[in-house]
Amino acid sequence: MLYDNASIHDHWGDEYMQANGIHYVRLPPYSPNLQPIEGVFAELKKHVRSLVYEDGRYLDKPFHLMAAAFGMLTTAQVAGQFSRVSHEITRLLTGVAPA
Amino acid sequence: MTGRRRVSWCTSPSLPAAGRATSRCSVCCPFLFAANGAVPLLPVCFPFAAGRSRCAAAPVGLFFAAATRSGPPRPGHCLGPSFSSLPLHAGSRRIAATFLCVLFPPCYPLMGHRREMSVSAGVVETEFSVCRSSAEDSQSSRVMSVGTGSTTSSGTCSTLSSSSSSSTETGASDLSGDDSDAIPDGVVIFSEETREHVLGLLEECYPTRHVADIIGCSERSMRLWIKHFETNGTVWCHPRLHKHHNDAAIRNTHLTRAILALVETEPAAFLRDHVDLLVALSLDHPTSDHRWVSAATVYRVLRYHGYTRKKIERLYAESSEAAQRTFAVLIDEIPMRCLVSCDETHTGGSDVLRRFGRSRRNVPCILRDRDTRTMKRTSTMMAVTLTHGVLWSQTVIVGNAQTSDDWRLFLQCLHALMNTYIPGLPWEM
Repeated sequence: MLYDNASIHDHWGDEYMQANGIHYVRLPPYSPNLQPIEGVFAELKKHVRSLVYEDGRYLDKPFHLMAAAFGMLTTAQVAGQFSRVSHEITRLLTGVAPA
Repeated sequence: MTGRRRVSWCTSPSLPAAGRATSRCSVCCPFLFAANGAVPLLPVCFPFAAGRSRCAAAPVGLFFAAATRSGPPRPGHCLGPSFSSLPLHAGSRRIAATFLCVLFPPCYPLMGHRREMSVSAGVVETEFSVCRSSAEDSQSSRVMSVGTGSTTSSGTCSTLSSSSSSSTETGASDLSGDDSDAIPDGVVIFSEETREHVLGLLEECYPTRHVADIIGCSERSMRLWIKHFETNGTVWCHPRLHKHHNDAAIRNTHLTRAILALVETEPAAFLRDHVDLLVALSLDHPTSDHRWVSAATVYRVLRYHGYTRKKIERLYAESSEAAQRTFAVLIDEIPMRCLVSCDETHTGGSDVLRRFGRSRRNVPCILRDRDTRTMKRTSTMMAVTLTHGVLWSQTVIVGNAQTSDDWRLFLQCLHALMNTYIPGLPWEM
Protein backbone atom coordinates (compact mmCIF):
# COMPACT_ATOMS: atom_id res chain seq x y z
CA MET A 1 0.00 0.00 0.00
CA LEU A 2 1.23 3.43 -0.96
CA TYR A 3 0.17 6.55 0.90
CA ASP A 4 1.52 9.95 1.85
CA ASN A 5 2.57 11.53 5.13
CA ALA A 6 -0.73 13.09 6.12
CA SER A 7 -1.32 13.44 9.81
CA ILE A 8 -4.21 11.00 9.84
CA HIS A 9 -1.88 8.26 8.64
CA ASP A 10 -0.55 7.78 12.14
CA HIS A 11 1.27 4.90 13.76
CA TRP A 12 -2.00 3.19 14.76
CA GLY A 13 -2.74 2.61 11.13
CA ASP A 14 0.81 1.37 10.54
CA GLU A 15 0.48 -1.09 13.39
CA TYR A 16 -2.81 -2.34 12.00
CA MET A 17 -1.22 -2.99 8.61
CA GLN A 18 1.76 -4.73 10.12
CA ALA A 19 -0.53 -6.93 12.18
CA ASN A 20 -2.51 -7.91 9.09
CA GLY A 21 0.39 -8.54 6.75
CA ILE A 22 -0.05 -5.49 4.59
CA HIS A 23 3.17 -4.05 3.21
CA TYR A 24 3.12 -0.30 3.11
CA VAL A 25 5.34 2.38 1.63
CA ARG A 26 5.23 6.06 2.50
CA LEU A 27 5.80 8.65 -0.13
CA PRO A 28 8.65 11.12 0.35
CA PRO A 29 7.51 14.55 1.53
CA TYR A 30 6.06 16.92 -1.02
CA SER A 31 5.91 14.32 -3.73
CA PRO A 32 2.36 14.12 -5.00
CA ASN A 33 3.75 13.54 -8.46
CA LEU A 34 4.66 10.00 -7.38
CA GLN A 35 1.15 9.19 -6.13
CA PRO A 36 -1.09 7.68 -8.85
CA ILE A 37 -4.29 8.43 -7.00
CA GLU A 38 -3.77 12.18 -7.17
CA GLY A 39 -4.49 12.14 -10.86
CA VAL A 40 -7.46 9.86 -10.27
CA PHE A 41 -8.88 12.46 -7.89
CA ALA A 42 -8.58 15.08 -10.57
CA GLU A 43 -10.55 12.87 -12.95
CA LEU A 44 -13.09 12.21 -10.22
CA LYS A 45 -13.74 15.89 -9.66
CA LYS A 46 -14.24 16.47 -13.34
CA HIS A 47 -17.01 13.88 -13.25
CA VAL A 48 -18.46 15.47 -10.13
CA ARG A 49 -18.70 18.85 -11.79
CA SER A 50 -20.25 17.39 -14.89
CA LEU A 51 -22.85 15.48 -12.92
CA VAL A 52 -23.90 18.49 -10.89
CA TYR A 53 -24.03 20.64 -13.97
CA GLU A 54 -26.32 18.19 -15.72
CA ASP A 55 -28.54 17.48 -12.72
CA GLY A 56 -28.67 20.00 -9.90
CA ARG A 57 -30.46 17.58 -7.60
CA TYR A 58 -27.11 15.99 -6.88
CA LEU A 59 -26.34 18.95 -4.67
CA ASP A 60 -28.76 17.66 -2.07
CA LYS A 61 -27.44 14.10 -2.33
CA PRO A 62 -23.67 14.16 -1.92
CA PHE A 63 -23.37 10.40 -1.41
CA HIS A 64 -25.30 9.67 -4.57
CA LEU A 65 -23.14 12.19 -6.35
CA MET A 66 -19.88 10.59 -5.27
CA ALA A 67 -21.15 7.11 -6.06
CA ALA A 68 -22.14 8.20 -9.54
CA ALA A 69 -18.77 9.86 -10.05
CA PHE A 70 -16.96 6.71 -8.94
CA GLY A 71 -19.01 4.75 -11.40
CA MET A 72 -17.82 6.99 -14.21
CA LEU A 73 -14.16 6.34 -13.44
CA THR A 74 -12.77 3.76 -15.79
CA THR A 75 -9.94 1.35 -15.28
CA ALA A 76 -8.15 2.92 -18.21
CA GLN A 77 -8.13 6.27 -16.47
CA VAL A 78 -6.60 4.74 -13.37
CA ALA A 79 -4.11 2.80 -15.44
CA GLY A 80 -3.10 6.02 -17.14
CA GLN A 81 -2.18 7.54 -13.82
CA PHE A 82 -0.08 4.52 -12.91
CA SER A 83 1.63 4.82 -16.24
CA ARG A 84 2.39 8.47 -15.54
CA VAL A 85 3.97 7.58 -12.20
CA SER A 86 5.96 4.84 -13.86
CA HIS A 87 7.41 7.35 -16.27
CA GLU A 88 8.18 9.68 -13.41
CA ILE A 89 10.05 6.94 -11.59
CA THR A 90 11.97 6.12 -14.71
CA ARG A 91 12.93 9.75 -15.05
CA LEU A 92 14.18 9.84 -11.48
CA LEU A 93 16.21 6.69 -11.97
CA THR A 94 17.76 7.77 -15.23
CA GLY A 95 18.20 11.40 -14.19
CA VAL A 96 16.67 12.75 -17.37
CA ALA A 97 15.10 16.18 -16.95
CA PRO A 98 11.37 16.38 -17.72
CA ALA A 99 10.43 17.69 -21.14
CA MET B 1 -14.38 70.27 7.56
CA THR B 2 -16.70 73.00 6.37
CA GLY B 3 -14.59 75.64 8.02
CA ARG B 4 -11.54 74.62 6.03
CA ARG B 5 -13.40 74.55 2.75
CA ARG B 6 -13.08 78.24 2.14
CA VAL B 7 -12.74 79.26 -1.44
CA SER B 8 -10.33 81.85 -2.47
CA TRP B 9 -12.59 84.24 -4.30
CA CYS B 10 -14.35 85.10 -1.08
CA THR B 11 -11.17 86.77 0.07
CA SER B 12 -10.45 88.69 -3.06
CA PRO B 13 -9.77 92.37 -2.40
CA SER B 14 -12.38 93.30 -4.94
CA LEU B 15 -14.98 91.50 -2.89
CA PRO B 16 -16.31 92.37 0.51
CA ALA B 17 -15.41 90.54 3.65
CA ALA B 18 -17.80 87.92 4.91
CA GLY B 19 -18.74 89.93 7.95
CA ARG B 20 -20.04 92.86 5.95
CA ALA B 21 -22.64 90.96 4.07
CA THR B 22 -25.89 92.68 3.57
CA SER B 23 -27.49 90.59 0.86
CA ARG B 24 -27.11 87.25 -0.85
CA CYS B 25 -26.91 86.09 -4.38
CA SER B 26 -29.90 84.03 -5.36
CA VAL B 27 -28.23 82.49 -8.39
CA CYS B 28 -24.95 81.14 -7.14
CA CYS B 29 -25.76 79.53 -3.86
CA PRO B 30 -28.34 76.97 -4.99
CA PHE B 31 -26.19 75.73 -7.83
CA LEU B 32 -23.09 75.60 -5.75
CA PHE B 33 -24.87 73.58 -3.14
CA ALA B 34 -26.24 71.27 -5.78
CA ALA B 35 -22.80 70.82 -7.24
CA ASN B 36 -21.27 69.99 -3.91
CA GLY B 37 -23.86 67.40 -3.08
CA ALA B 38 -25.51 67.01 0.28
CA VAL B 39 -22.58 68.53 2.14
CA PRO B 40 -22.07 72.17 1.32
CA LEU B 41 -18.37 72.42 0.81
CA LEU B 42 -18.45 76.16 0.43
CA PRO B 43 -19.56 78.60 3.11
CA VAL B 44 -23.19 78.71 3.92
CA CYS B 45 -23.70 81.92 2.00
CA PHE B 46 -21.77 84.10 -0.35
CA PRO B 47 -22.30 87.59 0.88
CA PHE B 48 -21.76 90.58 -1.25
CA ALA B 49 -22.07 94.18 -0.39
CA ALA B 50 -25.23 96.02 -1.07
CA GLY B 51 -25.13 97.96 -4.25
CA ARG B 52 -22.73 95.62 -5.99
CA SER B 53 -23.87 93.53 -8.88
CA ARG B 54 -22.07 90.31 -8.22
CA CYS B 55 -20.97 88.08 -5.43
CA ALA B 56 -17.81 86.15 -4.87
CA ALA B 57 -19.07 82.88 -6.24
CA ALA B 58 -20.75 84.32 -9.26
CA PRO B 59 -18.55 82.67 -11.92
CA VAL B 60 -19.03 79.18 -10.57
CA GLY B 61 -22.69 79.76 -9.93
CA LEU B 62 -23.21 81.02 -13.41
CA PHE B 63 -21.37 78.08 -14.82
CA PHE B 64 -23.70 75.63 -13.19
CA ALA B 65 -26.62 77.82 -14.07
CA ALA B 66 -25.60 77.72 -17.69
CA ALA B 67 -25.00 74.01 -17.54
CA THR B 68 -28.48 73.29 -16.31
CA ARG B 69 -30.52 75.97 -17.94
CA SER B 70 -30.98 76.91 -21.55
CA GLY B 71 -32.48 80.32 -21.16
CA PRO B 72 -30.65 83.57 -20.44
CA PRO B 73 -29.97 84.61 -16.85
CA ARG B 74 -32.80 86.47 -15.31
CA PRO B 75 -32.32 90.18 -14.71
CA GLY B 76 -31.18 91.17 -11.31
CA HIS B 77 -28.90 88.22 -10.85
CA CYS B 78 -25.25 88.68 -10.35
CA LEU B 79 -22.81 88.57 -13.23
CA GLY B 80 -19.11 88.04 -12.99
CA PRO B 81 -16.80 90.37 -14.86
CA SER B 82 -15.55 87.75 -17.26
CA PHE B 83 -18.92 86.15 -17.85
CA SER B 84 -20.49 89.44 -18.76
CA SER B 85 -18.39 89.53 -21.91
CA LEU B 86 -19.40 86.05 -23.05
CA PRO B 87 -22.45 85.39 -25.21
CA LEU B 88 -24.43 83.71 -22.52
CA HIS B 89 -27.73 84.66 -24.07
CA ALA B 90 -26.81 83.30 -27.46
CA GLY B 91 -25.34 79.96 -26.61
CA SER B 92 -25.23 79.28 -22.92
CA ARG B 93 -25.32 75.53 -23.47
CA ARG B 94 -22.31 75.59 -25.75
CA ILE B 95 -20.35 77.62 -23.23
CA ALA B 96 -21.44 75.32 -20.47
CA ALA B 97 -20.22 72.36 -22.50
CA THR B 98 -16.93 74.12 -23.01
CA PHE B 99 -16.54 74.63 -19.30
CA LEU B 100 -17.43 71.04 -18.71
CA CYS B 101 -14.58 70.07 -20.98
CA VAL B 102 -12.21 72.13 -18.90
CA LEU B 103 -13.47 71.17 -15.50
CA PHE B 104 -13.97 67.53 -16.40
CA PRO B 105 -10.85 66.60 -18.37
CA PRO B 106 -11.95 63.08 -19.29
CA CYS B 107 -14.71 64.70 -21.34
CA TYR B 108 -12.35 66.64 -23.56
CA PRO B 109 -13.15 64.67 -26.74
CA LEU B 110 -16.63 66.13 -26.53
CA MET B 111 -15.21 69.51 -27.16
CA GLY B 112 -15.91 70.95 -30.56
CA HIS B 113 -12.67 72.52 -31.61
CA ARG B 114 -9.62 74.09 -30.22
CA ARG B 115 -10.89 77.61 -30.27
CA GLU B 116 -13.44 76.86 -27.62
CA MET B 117 -10.77 75.25 -25.51
CA SER B 118 -8.62 78.35 -25.66
CA VAL B 119 -11.57 80.53 -24.84
CA SER B 120 -12.49 78.40 -21.92
CA ALA B 121 -8.93 78.35 -20.74
CA GLY B 122 -8.87 82.08 -20.95
CA VAL B 123 -12.00 82.34 -18.88
CA VAL B 124 -10.57 80.12 -16.25
CA GLU B 125 -7.46 82.20 -16.18
CA THR B 126 -9.53 85.34 -15.90
CA GLU B 127 -11.56 84.03 -13.03
CA PHE B 128 -8.61 82.89 -11.04
CA SER B 129 -6.57 85.91 -11.86
CA VAL B 130 -8.67 87.70 -9.27
CA CYS B 131 -7.24 85.40 -6.68
CA ARG B 132 -3.82 85.49 -8.21
CA SER B 133 -3.62 89.22 -7.90
CA SER B 134 -4.22 89.00 -4.20
CA ALA B 135 -1.78 86.22 -3.61
CA GLU B 136 1.77 86.98 -2.84
CA ASP B 137 3.12 83.76 -4.12
CA SER B 138 2.24 83.26 -7.73
CA GLN B 139 3.14 79.59 -7.59
CA SER B 140 0.68 79.02 -4.78
CA SER B 141 -2.09 80.66 -6.70
CA ARG B 142 -1.21 78.49 -9.67
CA VAL B 143 -1.54 75.40 -7.57
CA MET B 144 -4.80 76.69 -6.26
CA SER B 145 -6.24 77.20 -9.70
CA VAL B 146 -5.12 73.77 -10.80
CA GLY B 147 -6.42 72.20 -7.70
CA THR B 148 -9.79 73.82 -8.07
CA GLY B 149 -10.28 72.62 -11.59
CA SER B 150 -8.97 69.15 -11.04
CA THR B 151 -10.80 68.64 -7.80
CA THR B 152 -14.03 69.51 -9.48
CA SER B 153 -13.19 66.97 -12.12
CA SER B 154 -13.15 63.99 -9.80
CA GLY B 155 -9.93 64.85 -8.08
CA THR B 156 -7.26 63.96 -10.53
CA CYS B 157 -4.68 66.24 -8.99
CA SER B 158 -3.12 66.01 -5.58
CA THR B 159 -0.51 67.87 -3.67
CA LEU B 160 2.19 66.66 -1.44
CA SER B 161 0.86 68.48 1.55
CA SER B 162 -2.76 67.50 1.14
CA SER B 163 -4.99 65.10 -0.67
CA SER B 164 -6.74 65.82 -3.93
CA SER B 165 -9.86 67.02 -2.21
CA SER B 166 -7.93 69.51 -0.17
CA SER B 167 -6.37 71.39 -3.04
CA THR B 168 -9.06 74.02 -2.97
CA GLU B 169 -8.88 74.55 0.70
CA THR B 170 -5.13 74.81 0.57
CA GLY B 171 -5.31 77.61 -1.93
CA ALA B 172 -7.95 79.32 0.10
CA SER B 173 -6.01 79.13 3.29
CA ASP B 174 -2.98 80.44 1.49
CA LEU B 175 -4.88 83.48 0.40
CA SER B 176 -6.66 84.04 3.64
CA GLY B 177 -3.44 84.28 5.49
CA ASP B 178 -3.45 80.87 7.17
CA ASP B 179 0.17 79.89 6.84
CA SER B 180 -0.20 76.52 8.52
CA ASP B 181 -1.88 74.96 5.48
CA ALA B 182 0.31 76.51 2.82
CA ILE B 183 1.61 74.25 0.08
CA PRO B 184 5.35 73.77 0.32
CA ASP B 185 6.84 75.45 -2.72
CA GLY B 186 3.79 74.67 -4.81
CA VAL B 187 4.79 71.05 -5.42
CA VAL B 188 2.12 69.08 -7.25
CA ILE B 189 2.02 65.38 -8.01
CA PHE B 190 -0.19 64.71 -10.97
CA SER B 191 -2.01 61.46 -11.10
CA GLU B 192 -1.51 58.90 -13.81
CA GLU B 193 -4.88 59.74 -15.33
CA THR B 194 -3.98 63.39 -15.57
CA ARG B 195 -0.65 62.64 -17.17
CA GLU B 196 -2.23 60.34 -19.70
CA HIS B 197 -4.84 62.98 -20.32
CA VAL B 198 -2.07 65.45 -21.10
CA LEU B 199 -0.50 63.04 -23.55
CA GLY B 200 -3.87 62.58 -25.19
CA LEU B 201 -4.29 66.30 -25.59
CA LEU B 202 -0.83 66.67 -27.06
CA GLU B 203 -1.45 63.81 -29.42
CA GLU B 204 -4.47 65.65 -30.71
CA CYS B 205 -2.20 68.58 -31.54
CA TYR B 206 -3.33 70.98 -28.88
CA PRO B 207 -0.73 73.69 -28.23
CA THR B 208 1.60 72.86 -25.42
CA ARG B 209 1.07 76.20 -23.77
CA HIS B 210 -2.69 75.79 -23.73
CA VAL B 211 -2.47 72.31 -22.30
CA ALA B 212 -0.09 73.55 -19.64
CA ASP B 213 -2.51 76.30 -18.73
CA ILE B 214 -5.48 74.00 -18.54
CA ILE B 215 -3.86 71.20 -16.62
CA GLY B 216 -1.64 73.41 -14.56
CA CYS B 217 1.60 71.63 -15.22
CA SER B 218 4.75 72.95 -16.74
CA GLU B 219 5.84 72.28 -20.27
CA ARG B 220 8.97 70.64 -18.97
CA SER B 221 6.86 68.16 -17.05
CA MET B 222 4.95 67.35 -20.18
CA ARG B 223 8.16 66.74 -22.10
CA LEU B 224 9.31 64.42 -19.32
CA TRP B 225 6.06 62.48 -19.39
CA ILE B 226 6.34 62.04 -23.13
CA LYS B 227 9.91 60.86 -22.71
CA HIS B 228 8.92 58.37 -20.03
CA PHE B 229 6.08 57.12 -22.16
CA GLU B 230 8.38 56.56 -25.11
CA THR B 231 10.94 54.88 -22.88
CA ASN B 232 8.94 52.47 -20.76
CA GLY B 233 5.35 52.77 -21.91
CA THR B 234 4.13 54.56 -18.81
CA VAL B 235 4.05 58.14 -17.70
CA TRP B 236 6.28 57.41 -14.75
CA CYS B 237 10.03 57.59 -14.63
CA HIS B 238 10.22 54.20 -12.95
CA PRO B 239 7.08 52.29 -13.81
CA ARG B 240 7.19 50.16 -10.68
CA LEU B 241 7.93 52.82 -8.13
CA HIS B 242 5.24 55.39 -8.60
CA LYS B 243 3.15 54.06 -5.72
CA HIS B 244 5.48 54.81 -2.89
CA HIS B 245 3.24 53.48 -0.17
CA ASN B 246 3.06 50.11 -1.88
CA ASP B 247 6.70 49.76 -2.75
CA ALA B 248 8.20 50.66 0.57
CA ALA B 249 8.55 46.97 1.36
CA ILE B 250 10.34 46.30 -1.91
CA ARG B 251 12.88 49.01 -1.21
CA ASN B 252 13.42 47.67 2.30
CA THR B 253 16.60 45.68 1.79
CA HIS B 254 16.49 44.02 5.20
CA LEU B 255 13.00 42.73 4.64
CA THR B 256 13.81 41.62 1.11
CA ARG B 257 16.85 39.66 2.21
CA ALA B 258 14.89 38.02 5.01
CA ILE B 259 12.03 36.95 2.75
CA LEU B 260 14.28 35.64 0.01
CA ALA B 261 16.39 33.71 2.49
CA LEU B 262 13.27 32.19 3.97
CA VAL B 263 11.79 31.07 0.70
CA GLU B 264 15.06 29.58 -0.49
CA THR B 265 15.64 27.63 2.67
CA GLU B 266 12.04 26.63 3.26
CA PRO B 267 10.24 26.54 -0.07
CA ALA B 268 7.53 24.36 1.40
CA ALA B 269 6.40 27.01 3.84
CA PHE B 270 3.22 28.97 3.32
CA LEU B 271 3.08 32.74 3.27
CA ARG B 272 1.62 32.80 6.74
CA ASP B 273 4.57 30.75 8.00
CA HIS B 274 6.88 33.39 6.59
CA VAL B 275 4.87 36.09 8.30
CA ASP B 276 4.98 34.28 11.63
CA LEU B 277 8.71 33.81 11.38
CA LEU B 278 9.34 37.43 10.45
CA VAL B 279 7.20 38.67 13.28
CA ALA B 280 8.98 36.36 15.71
CA LEU B 281 12.35 37.60 14.49
CA SER B 282 11.28 41.19 14.86
CA LEU B 283 10.19 40.57 18.42
CA ASP B 284 13.57 39.07 19.23
CA HIS B 285 15.39 41.80 17.33
CA PRO B 286 13.38 45.00 17.71
CA THR B 287 15.82 46.96 15.59
CA SER B 288 14.79 45.05 12.49
CA ASP B 289 12.71 46.96 10.06
CA HIS B 290 10.07 44.42 9.16
CA ARG B 291 7.80 44.27 12.12
CA TRP B 292 4.60 45.11 10.28
CA VAL B 293 4.87 42.61 7.48
CA SER B 294 1.77 40.93 6.12
CA ALA B 295 1.20 37.98 3.86
CA ALA B 296 0.40 40.35 1.02
CA THR B 297 3.70 42.13 1.54
CA VAL B 298 5.61 38.88 1.49
CA TYR B 299 3.85 37.86 -1.67
CA ARG B 300 4.55 41.22 -3.32
CA VAL B 301 8.22 41.09 -2.47
CA LEU B 302 8.45 37.55 -3.77
CA ARG B 303 6.75 38.46 -7.01
CA TYR B 304 8.92 41.52 -7.46
CA HIS B 305 12.03 39.36 -7.26
CA GLY B 306 10.66 36.77 -9.61
CA TYR B 307 9.64 34.08 -7.16
CA THR B 308 6.49 32.95 -8.87
CA ARG B 309 4.44 29.94 -7.85
CA LYS B 310 6.09 27.77 -10.46
CA LYS B 311 9.54 28.77 -9.34
CA ILE B 312 8.77 28.00 -5.72
CA GLU B 313 7.31 24.67 -6.72
CA ARG B 314 10.51 23.95 -8.54
CA LEU B 315 12.36 24.72 -5.36
CA TYR B 316 10.10 22.22 -3.64
CA ALA B 317 10.98 19.56 -6.14
CA GLU B 318 14.68 20.28 -5.97
CA SER B 319 14.65 20.12 -2.20
CA SER B 320 13.07 16.67 -2.23
CA GLU B 321 14.85 15.40 -5.31
CA ALA B 322 17.20 13.14 -3.35
CA ALA B 323 14.37 11.66 -1.32
CA GLN B 324 12.36 11.05 -4.46
CA ARG B 325 15.30 9.30 -6.08
CA THR B 326 15.67 7.00 -3.09
CA PHE B 327 11.97 6.29 -3.22
CA ALA B 328 12.16 5.55 -6.94
CA VAL B 329 14.81 2.92 -6.33
CA LEU B 330 12.56 1.31 -3.72
CA ILE B 331 9.32 1.45 -5.65
CA ASP B 332 10.98 0.20 -8.81
CA GLU B 333 11.39 -3.18 -7.14
CA ILE B 334 7.62 -3.54 -6.74
CA PRO B 335 5.46 -4.22 -9.79
CA MET B 336 2.92 -1.55 -10.49
CA ARG B 337 0.12 -4.07 -10.47
CA CYS B 338 0.90 -4.85 -6.85
CA LEU B 339 0.56 -1.27 -5.69
CA VAL B 340 -2.55 -0.03 -3.92
CA SER B 341 -2.53 3.72 -3.92
CA CYS B 342 -4.52 5.31 -1.11
CA ASP B 343 -5.28 8.91 -0.30
CA GLU B 344 -8.08 11.21 0.73
CA THR B 345 -9.53 14.26 -0.94
CA HIS B 346 -12.14 16.84 -0.14
CA THR B 347 -14.99 17.96 -2.31
CA GLY B 348 -16.35 21.40 -1.64
CA GLY B 349 -18.30 24.02 -3.49
CA SER B 350 -15.61 24.97 -5.95
CA ASP B 351 -15.09 21.34 -6.88
CA VAL B 352 -18.76 20.75 -7.50
CA LEU B 353 -20.18 23.80 -9.17
CA ARG B 354 -19.27 25.31 -12.48
CA ARG B 355 -19.66 28.80 -11.15
CA PHE B 356 -19.90 30.46 -14.49
CA GLY B 357 -21.49 27.70 -16.46
CA ARG B 358 -20.00 25.80 -19.30
CA SER B 359 -19.13 27.24 -22.65
CA ARG B 360 -16.93 26.51 -25.63
CA ARG B 361 -13.24 27.03 -25.35
CA ASN B 362 -12.21 30.70 -25.45
CA VAL B 363 -15.84 31.75 -25.57
CA PRO B 364 -16.88 33.48 -22.34
CA CYS B 365 -20.21 32.44 -20.95
CA ILE B 366 -21.56 35.84 -20.07
CA LEU B 367 -25.23 35.05 -19.94
CA ARG B 368 -25.12 32.90 -16.84
CA ASP B 369 -25.07 34.36 -13.39
CA ARG B 370 -22.79 33.09 -10.69
CA ASP B 371 -24.06 29.90 -9.16
CA THR B 372 -24.64 30.55 -5.48
CA ARG B 373 -25.94 27.14 -4.49
CA THR B 374 -24.26 25.47 -1.56
CA MET B 375 -23.31 21.89 -0.93
CA LYS B 376 -22.10 19.98 2.06
CA ARG B 377 -18.38 19.36 2.14
CA THR B 378 -17.41 15.74 1.77
CA SER B 379 -14.20 13.88 2.38
CA THR B 380 -13.40 10.81 0.37
CA MET B 381 -10.79 8.11 0.96
CA MET B 382 -10.10 5.94 -1.98
CA ALA B 383 -7.84 3.07 -2.98
CA VAL B 384 -7.01 2.30 -6.59
CA THR B 385 -4.98 -0.36 -8.33
CA LEU B 386 -3.63 -0.70 -11.80
CA THR B 387 -5.66 -3.70 -12.78
CA HIS B 388 -8.92 -3.16 -10.89
CA GLY B 389 -9.40 0.57 -10.91
CA VAL B 390 -11.21 1.85 -7.86
CA LEU B 391 -10.88 -0.79 -5.19
CA TRP B 392 -12.63 0.89 -2.30
CA SER B 393 -13.88 4.31 -1.38
CA GLN B 394 -15.29 5.84 1.72
CA THR B 395 -17.13 9.17 1.69
CA VAL B 396 -18.26 11.09 4.75
CA ILE B 397 -19.70 14.54 5.26
CA VAL B 398 -17.20 16.44 7.34
CA GLY B 399 -16.52 19.84 8.73
CA ASN B 400 -12.76 19.79 8.38
CA ALA B 401 -11.35 16.42 7.40
CA GLN B 402 -11.37 12.75 8.26
CA THR B 403 -9.47 11.55 11.27
CA SER B 404 -7.16 8.68 12.02
CA ASP B 405 -10.17 6.68 13.22
CA ASP B 406 -11.67 7.04 9.76
CA TRP B 407 -8.34 5.92 8.33
CA ARG B 408 -8.34 2.72 10.39
CA LEU B 409 -11.95 2.03 9.48
CA PHE B 410 -11.00 2.46 5.86
CA LEU B 411 -8.11 0.02 6.26
CA GLN B 412 -10.35 -2.58 7.83
CA CYS B 413 -12.83 -2.39 4.96
CA LEU B 414 -10.04 -2.43 2.40
CA HIS B 415 -8.24 -5.34 3.98
CA ALA B 416 -11.18 -7.62 3.22
CA LEU B 417 -10.69 -6.91 -0.48
CA MET B 418 -6.94 -7.36 -0.58
CA ASN B 419 -4.77 -10.36 -1.03
CA THR B 420 -1.38 -10.65 0.55
CA TYR B 421 1.58 -9.76 -1.60
CA ILE B 422 4.46 -12.22 -1.47
CA PRO B 423 7.54 -11.08 -3.37
CA GLY B 424 8.39 -13.39 -6.23
CA LEU B 425 4.91 -14.85 -6.61
CA PRO B 426 2.06 -13.80 -8.86
CA TRP B 427 -0.28 -11.49 -7.07
CA GLU B 428 -3.97 -11.04 -7.57
CA MET B 429 -6.49 -9.12 -5.58
